[in-house]
Amino acid sequence: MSATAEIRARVHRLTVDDYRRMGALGILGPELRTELIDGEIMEMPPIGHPHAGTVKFIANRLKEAVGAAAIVAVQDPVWLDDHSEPLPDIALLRPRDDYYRTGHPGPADVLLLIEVADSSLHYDREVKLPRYARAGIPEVWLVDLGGRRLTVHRRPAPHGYADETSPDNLGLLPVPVPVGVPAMVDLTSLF
Amino acid sequence: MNRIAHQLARVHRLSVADYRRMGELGILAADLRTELIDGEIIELPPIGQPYAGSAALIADRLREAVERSAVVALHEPIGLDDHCEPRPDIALLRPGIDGARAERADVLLLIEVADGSLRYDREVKFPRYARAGIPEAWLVDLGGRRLTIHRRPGPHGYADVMTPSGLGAVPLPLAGLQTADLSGLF
Repeated sequence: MSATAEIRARVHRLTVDDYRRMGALGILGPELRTELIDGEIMEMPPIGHPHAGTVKFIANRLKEAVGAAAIVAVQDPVWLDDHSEPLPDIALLRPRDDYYRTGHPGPADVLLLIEVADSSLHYDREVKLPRYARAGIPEVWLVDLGGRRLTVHRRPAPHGYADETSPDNLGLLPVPVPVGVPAMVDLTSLF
Repeated sequence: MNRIAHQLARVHRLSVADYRRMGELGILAADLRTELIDGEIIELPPIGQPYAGSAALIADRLREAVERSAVVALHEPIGLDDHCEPRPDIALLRPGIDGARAERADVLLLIEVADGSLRYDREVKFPRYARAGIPEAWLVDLGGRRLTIHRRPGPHGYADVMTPSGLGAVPLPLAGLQTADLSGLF
């Protein structure tokens, strides 16, 4: 084993609770955008405008499509397990009267996560998607800005999503909602 | 799997001040043995034998040799820079720092006793000791039954590595030219 591999094996893994306390106590300052992945604190790059605009576009369209049937959250923490609390770009959550003021949403609260990727495509695909699948997040959309492509990932399993499709028609995408038939969202001008 | 994450994103590096606060606030439990290396918290393995006995022997022999001309510290954290606070097995420190936390300017000599940790000590810790300007470091390789003395620190490591001819009178980096008797170490 190389020294680098050895040091990786011995890195202390923080719990989500440790991580939140570090935020509350100011050890992680408010100027930092971070997420906890397998017990390690990852810094998120600054948000560029194509990314930010795309996130706003999708979030607004989603809200119009689902109405009161779900809550749309933008760049808010979602905990996955004891050692991971990522910041997905968009989370579609089961409705709750308190809007999750009393605790961040967990896997059972999530209907859909969306990642908008510019330079972060590989990180989203290789690191975040497998962890979303492992936590049982039922559906993830990956928006690849560079490749102008949307992929829909379903059927979570321990090592990733079993189902990956690339919808032909961005004008009529089914959005999972808690009960009844899926809502339909029009993302025609996404790219 | 996390190695992929490291290639694709930036791990947040903690400062020594962050790390110390995490200890004071109990985010790092008191029973956890850790050190901070380049802003990452590294867990130290449990102390076993013959490692513990070897470290105790060296510390004892050093104390006999230096008397009051230096302080011998065992497993104490040493602040090297803003993002490194390792816990070397043994540190020989300038006298008069009792009670205060040791910084790199206080260090005369650091000693690592390696059983399973040889590569980690040699490839991770020693280059950082050299970079911080620690004037001398000894690596005690229990498996290879070998002591190496590392001197002339530079940005990429120690320029001088030598094996002492015997363990009966190993020269110490002190003005009084004292030597330590480490016979029986291996």
